[in-house]
Amino acid sequence: MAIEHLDTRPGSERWTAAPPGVRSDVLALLHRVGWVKILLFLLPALLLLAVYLVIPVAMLVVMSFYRSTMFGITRDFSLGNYAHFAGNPMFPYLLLKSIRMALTVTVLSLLVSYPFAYFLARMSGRFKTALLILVMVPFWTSYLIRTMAWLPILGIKGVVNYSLLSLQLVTKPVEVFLFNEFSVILTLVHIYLPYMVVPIFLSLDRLDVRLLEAAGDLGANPLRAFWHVTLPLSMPGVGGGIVMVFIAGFGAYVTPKLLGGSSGIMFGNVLADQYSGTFNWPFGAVLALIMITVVILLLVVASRFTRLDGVFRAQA
Amino acid sequence: MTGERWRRLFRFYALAVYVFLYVPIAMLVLLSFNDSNAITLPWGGFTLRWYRALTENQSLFVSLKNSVILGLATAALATLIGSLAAFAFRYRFRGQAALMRMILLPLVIPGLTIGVALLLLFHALGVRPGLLTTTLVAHVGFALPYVFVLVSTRLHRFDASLEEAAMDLGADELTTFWQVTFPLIRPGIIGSALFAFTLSFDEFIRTLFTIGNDNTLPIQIWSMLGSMVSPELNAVATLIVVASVGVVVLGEVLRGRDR
Amino acid sequence: MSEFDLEFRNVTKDFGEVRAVDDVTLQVHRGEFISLLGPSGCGKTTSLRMIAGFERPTRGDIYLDGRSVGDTPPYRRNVNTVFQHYALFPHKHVFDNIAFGLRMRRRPAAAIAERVERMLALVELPGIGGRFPHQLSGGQQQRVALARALINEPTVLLLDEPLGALDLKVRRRMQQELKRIHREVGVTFVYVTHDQEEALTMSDRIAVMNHGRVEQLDTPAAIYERPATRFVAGFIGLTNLLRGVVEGREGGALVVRTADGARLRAEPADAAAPGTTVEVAVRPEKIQMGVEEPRGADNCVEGRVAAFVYQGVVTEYQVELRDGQKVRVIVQNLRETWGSSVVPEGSRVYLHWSRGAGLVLADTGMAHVETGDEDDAVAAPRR
Repeated sequence: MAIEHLDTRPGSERWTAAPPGVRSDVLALLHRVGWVKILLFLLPALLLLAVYLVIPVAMLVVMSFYRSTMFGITRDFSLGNYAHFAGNPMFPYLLLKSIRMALTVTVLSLLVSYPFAYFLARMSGRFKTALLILVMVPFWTSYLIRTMAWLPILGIKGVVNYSLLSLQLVTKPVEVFLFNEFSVILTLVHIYLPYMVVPIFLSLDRLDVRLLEAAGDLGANPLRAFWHVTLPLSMPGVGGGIVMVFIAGFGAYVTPKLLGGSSGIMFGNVLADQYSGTFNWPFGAVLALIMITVVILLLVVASRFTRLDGVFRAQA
Repeated sequence: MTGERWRRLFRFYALAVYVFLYVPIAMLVLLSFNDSNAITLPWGGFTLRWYRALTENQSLFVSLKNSVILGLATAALATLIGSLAAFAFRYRFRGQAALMRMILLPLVIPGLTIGVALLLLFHALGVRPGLLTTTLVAHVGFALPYVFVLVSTRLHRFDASLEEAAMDLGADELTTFWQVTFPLIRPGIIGSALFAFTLSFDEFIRTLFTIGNDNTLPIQIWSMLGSMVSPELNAVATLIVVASVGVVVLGEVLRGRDR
Repeated sequence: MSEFDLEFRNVTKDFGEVRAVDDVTLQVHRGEFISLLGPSGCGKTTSLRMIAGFERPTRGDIYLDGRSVGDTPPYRRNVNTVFQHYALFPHKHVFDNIAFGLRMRRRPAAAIAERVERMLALVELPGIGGRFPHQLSGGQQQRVALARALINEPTVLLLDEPLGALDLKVRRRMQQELKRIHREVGVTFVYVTHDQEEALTMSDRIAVMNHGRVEQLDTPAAIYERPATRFVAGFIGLTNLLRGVVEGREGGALVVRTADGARLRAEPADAAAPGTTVEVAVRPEKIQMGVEEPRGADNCVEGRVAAFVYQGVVTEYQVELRDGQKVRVIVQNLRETWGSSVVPEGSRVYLHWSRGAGLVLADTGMAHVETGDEDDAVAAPRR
């Protein structure tokens, strides 16, 4: 088979690249001054973050020092709102109560999720993804709806009471299931379960089974293998889940408002009230800042722990 | 306990967790067909009258329309801004780690505080709350980190040598993007957009503080919960569940197609 | 018009603190098949990327067809690359992949179609234009990548370890294919590899690189027979290094005295001054081994067979000399049955070779030399 030579000598039909023009000049310029391109790409996001996050939080700080009077908001600098928070024992109490409730939600969520994630991670291929998606599906619906869904379950005419009555375990409907701390905590655990399951699942799923085999080979029974190998290696996932669930629980508003009655009130409710009922914006700003501070503190603490965790792993 | 019994125990436990996850929603769907004036039991018989009532509810349609418009706008803007940022992060530059932390920060700040802070901001600026102004800002800011993460991971898996090959063969940066990069990441971007839509569609707390007189669907549901608690609520909720899940499933399917 | 298709003039490339390419100067003749050979990190891939335009030299300049490339972007250079993992566009079928470069230059559709068909015939893959890359085997993908690059008639074709991902048999066949295409097409090929056997087989010339520098640029035979430095001697094939002190000259050879008193004769005679410590590099296959002391040999050392390995075509012996040095000897299995010719362990043997087979390497003080010992032994040729 005779194949023609690709003639590359000068003068042959050699096709050159497309001729330069404005567009290529601009591109060449961008190529040389690379950072301009990066900045251009980041600019919209930076602007958005400024308007959505940075400036609003700054406004919170500024507002927290103003005073709210009968005639409106006076702009002189004062620490009165902070004093108000510290002075009235109800507010610190509410803060601590919300933290406690959020911790409860987190711990319960962890206890429920860990075995579940463990089981899911140990499953074999085919159904695993499907089951994982099944866990996430509820998460894709609004938490408002998921909160509301508990009303017909926990109420005096709800499913639980209905079953108790028909099974004749009680003679009249029990009110204890709804409009208190219990219902809030239960619902929050329900809503944010995927937040805990997914990270734990991901870190357990990544676990190399051979590590456990090696541990067994070295004489560890399944329980010790779990304690010394599986558990430490799943810590990043556990840490992530704990942080996400706590923050979500601590910042809750809808759930306590809808299901909390008067005893299940949380920090978020009082915060929101400053912007509807009481119209004490400056004080509300203080509360918002406190909420953000708690969240940031948790993040800082958590990141410290994950570093420790790295050391942990090196030892194990 | 033997291995087999552990497995059975686990299976039972997992089933219990799924029940816990799904029973409330299932109840919701079930009760939307309940022929009774309360949103709870007892069961009064199967009926479609609540869905029919929905079709006659004008305000609900307006809210739905608002939610959809807002969702589309959010999806478009968040996807654009988030994708651009994700592309920028392919290069190394100073302050990269700090900037990424800032972009992801909104994920952990409670929506309630954001809503309140935005209210302060717009009030100080004298901007009147509006669906496609103040609320849009809140929604796009909310969805941005999600889009950023989704697009970033997709870009991370993208083989950069394909772009080099295109440039080697004579395509400049723009042509390379259009002919090679974009077609290959397009499903991922569309999937992210759909996810952003769902986030916006279901968003409540930030919306509560930034919307004025307009209603989105979640806002209307909230007021219905306060005033007229009827099974119509269950019907609306069911439809929202179906819509939300449907959109995300669609997005996942598209995202999976480019694998 | 320059006679050199490609030229490096004092090219240096730094990545921050790391110097990837260190003052490289070389010229590539028109139509030559030149390989850049070296271990990972030696700068060969960086050099290739600089030719293509994906990296810019920190210092120095690269000339294509006599003209400096400066900072011309890759899409404006008449250079094309065959990538290590093919980088075929997965969303375009084979035809569109191959036609890509021509479409970028806005050639008429009819001309493109005809050229694509010709290229497919050249790489012996006629008629698969409609298929997608994932439907092809590794070897086929490689050929499509080659066609996609060649169709643009580049001044220089760059190949970045293109055969690394293929298994042995396919790789051998592709090596022959590439040589054939190179001969037919006449384009200058710059080929990057870490596989010295591949480089020796395919190249007109080889540039052996280490730590960013070109240690030797020469034909395969010259590199093998006359390695210029310790590194080259160790990297290409297996070699023995016998240490000794220079005594003086004798005839046209340098006399080197080893620790146990043996006097070796090696070339070149002017390699080092008397009293210097040098190493004499001898290829294992150039050493003859016998159980009787030879007479009149240029070089002769005595030792005992410590071990041997049967390798089908040859037998590799490890001989321990009187002073403890270990020497590797490769003996071709000429006899009909191996058992009768093998020299058993513990036997006393005499190793001898001609003075031309021994190469004097002045101690350049380089820390790392691959002598082909231990783990490297069997791996070396295949790397």
